[in-house]
This record gives sequence, structure tokens and C-alpha cells, in this order.
Amino acid sequence: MNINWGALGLVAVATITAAIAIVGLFSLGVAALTSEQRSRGGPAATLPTVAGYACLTVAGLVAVYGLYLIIPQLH
Amino acid sequence: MTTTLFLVAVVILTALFFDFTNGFHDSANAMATSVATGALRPRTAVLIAAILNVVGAFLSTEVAKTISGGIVNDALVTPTMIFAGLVAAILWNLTTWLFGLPSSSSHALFGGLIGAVLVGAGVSGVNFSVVVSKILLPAIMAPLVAGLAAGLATFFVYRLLRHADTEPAAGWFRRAQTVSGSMIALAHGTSDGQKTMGVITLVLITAGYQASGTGPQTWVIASAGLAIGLGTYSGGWRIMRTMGKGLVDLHSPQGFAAETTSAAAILASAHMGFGLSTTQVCSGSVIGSGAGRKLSMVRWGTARRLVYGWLLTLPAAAVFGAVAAAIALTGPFGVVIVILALLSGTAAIVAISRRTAVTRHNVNESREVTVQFGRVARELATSPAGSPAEAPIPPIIIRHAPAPPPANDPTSLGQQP
Repeated sequence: MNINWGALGLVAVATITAAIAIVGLFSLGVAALTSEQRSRGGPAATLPTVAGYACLTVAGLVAVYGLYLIIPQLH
Repeated sequence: MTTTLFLVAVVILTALFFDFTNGFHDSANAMATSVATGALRPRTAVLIAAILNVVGAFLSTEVAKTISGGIVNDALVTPTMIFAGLVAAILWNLTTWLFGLPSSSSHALFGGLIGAVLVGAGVSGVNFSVVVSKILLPAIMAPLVAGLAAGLATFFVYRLLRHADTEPAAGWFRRAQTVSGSMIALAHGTSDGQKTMGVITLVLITAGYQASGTGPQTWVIASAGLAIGLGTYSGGWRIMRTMGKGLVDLHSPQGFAAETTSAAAILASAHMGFGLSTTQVCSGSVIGSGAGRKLSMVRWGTARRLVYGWLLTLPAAAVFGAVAAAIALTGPFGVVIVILALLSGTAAIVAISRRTAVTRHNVNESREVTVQFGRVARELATSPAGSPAEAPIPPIIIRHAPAPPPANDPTSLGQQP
């Protein structure tokens, strides 16, 4: 029996970390861009807008990295 | 030589048919949550998934060098055994589809091959320690890892969204779901598309129609990609309903969390040498994304059925494969009988499914997939009020939940007041 426990643990840790990081980052961005205050017609503060789009951009870059991992021709 | 040619043609056609069932079985993995949350219209979803599956099939360069990854001794495998294994896998895929059960197509194929090899080559042909390390252990780990990751991700999403305005936020998540679902579809094409190519190529090499050590020919890549793409486009709506509606009533943040987790798990396992079943990962993510909000959001009865389906897949396909091999190995006449059995079995299952059809028009209208045998309709869920198998008409449909809540509003985040 040859079970690669190291690889198994690595897969588990990578999955959990990546899922929380990407989903968390995206949610943070969405939360910043869609606060209740903003919907009530208040002035759109610059800082949350910039931070929100920054979060979404980073989440998008992670998606591009995922694409890189899927396509074997790229590496 | 004509017998060989006949057999090779039969195996190739069967392999393509298997690829088709693989596609429609697994299109739910990529798109069920997007369809359920309204992120994509059903037809758009399967079209995107189909195209990406075909693209993925063409992208994959590392074509499977072995049929089974060492689960059976490939040196002892003959084209007839491969044929029997494929027939078993197809029939099992169709059966689980009829009951709306997402089950792993790879496990069905391995099970069918194991059964066929046991009959054709004896116990020494099967590598049981590889069965444990490559099938059983990942089968336990996949839903646990995906469920835990999706549960935690969902929990954090709803923490972060406490002060967000629900409607625009849901829009963002639906758009993001398009990306996350597409990633799963593409990854699926690169992994599952190449499996059929590998089988066909190995059969061609075994029969002497292709030089040993050469890669798949262009027509093999094209036809395998086309088969999986057509299968994906046809939708597999029965499984789509179970994954998107039956397990959990998903809202777009949960759908995004589930799909992102699945994509992460598939990519991580593909690149770290510990292959996890796409189907089990995706089902685990969906359950986790329900449990991460509220444990009672998950219909555990449906989840239990899924687990029974997974446990059954390998042995059931092995039994099918053993029977098919026993008949097919008697000679060309036996092969013809198995072909006829495959065709009539397929026709019967399709005919039964038509009685309670699930299509892209009604996929989101209900949570349960009913199966109607003859005059008796039975919901397969194990319910306390389980009806006896011989129950007379009218059809009995037992719901997963005592009283279904109002239909899921795809525009909402699903936040409780």
C-alpha cells in the first residue's frame, strides 16, 4: 500500500486556503462596493471604491493563474 | 483480421458513447449551481460548458498512458475486456442519471474494468492496493476536503456581506459564478476528455493499427472532444436538479463559494498528484456551501442517497462488467449480444426517464427527481413514510422536505431577516 499522505495533506491545505482566500477577497470587494450606505444614495467614498476594485482585481488575477494551471501549453 | 477490425470499431464507438455519458453526467458539476442561482440560463450554461469541454479536450497534451492508472494490470487487458468495462460504465452512468444521482464516471469505468478483468484474467489482474489508494481513499477525502473548504468560505462570505446591499451584491456573485463554473468545465475537459482518447489510442496500438508509443491521432482527439461536448450540451438535467436544487437551495454567494472551492480542489489535486473525483468534489462543495450558512439548509436525506450512490458505483459497475465480459469473451457472437444488451438497456432507461422528464425548461421547478416504473411512481428518497414498492397508483412523490419553502428567488442573497 503506497498512500501519498503528504500529497493528500497538501491538496487539503491548498484547497481550503485557496477557497477561503479567493472567496473572501471577492466578498470583501463586493462588500466594499455595495454597502447599504452607498445604495441609499450617500456620497460614494473614494477609499472603499478603490479598495473594492482592488480586491476584485486580485481575485481576477487568481482566476487567471488558475487558467494558467489548467492550460498545459502555458508551462 | 476482419474480426479484429470489427472489435476495434466496436470498442471505439463504445468509448465515444461512454464519453458522451461522461459529458452529460458531469455537466452538472460545472454548471448546476450557476443554473440554480440564475447566474446563467440553462441553455447558455450547458453551451458554455460544452464549448469549454471541447477546448479542454484539445488542450490536454498529457494523454493517459494507461487505461486505468494501474488499477488493473494493463498487460492482461484485451480489447474485449475494455469493451465490457465500457458497456458496464455506460449502463451504470445511465442508471444513476435516471435517479438523478451525481456519481463519478471514472469510478464507473474503473469498476467496469475491474469486473471485466476479474472474469477475463483472474484476481491477479486487479491491483487491489491501488484500488484503495487511488479510489477509496480519495472518495472519502474529496467530499470532506471540499465540504470543509466550501463551508468555511461560505461562512466568511456571509460575515463579510452583513452590511452589503443584497441585490447589487448578488449581481456581482452571479457574474463571478460565470467565471468559476467555466473554470470547472475547462478543467474537466482537460482531464476527462483525455481518458477516452487514451482508451481509443491503446486499443488501436494493441490491435496493431498504430505504432506503439505514439500519441492520439487528430481524429481521435476531435471525436472524443466532440462526444464529451455533445454530452455536456445535452445537459444531464436530472443530475443538474439534484446538485443545484436537491441538496441545498443555493444563493449566488453560496454558488460562487462552491464553484471556487471545486475549481481550487480540482486544480490542487491535479497538480499535486492526488487525484480527486470531480463529481465528489463538486457535490461536497455544494453541501459545504449549504452547511456553512446553516446546517439545516442541507437536505441530509438527499446527501445520504448520494453517498449510497458513490459506495455502490464501483461494485455495481464491476458486476455489470463481469457479466458483460463473461458473455463478450465467448466470441464475436457474445460481443454482438452485449451490444444488443447495451442498446436495449439504453433504450429502456431513456424510455423510463421520459415519463418524468427533466429538461432545461423545468430543471429548477422542483427539488426531486422522480422515477416512474410502470404504473408505480416512487420517489427514491428514503423517507420515514416510505411507500411499499408495490404501491398502486396514483403516483406517490415523497418530498425531501415536509413543506417546500417558496421558490428560490435568484436575485436575492437569501439572507434571513
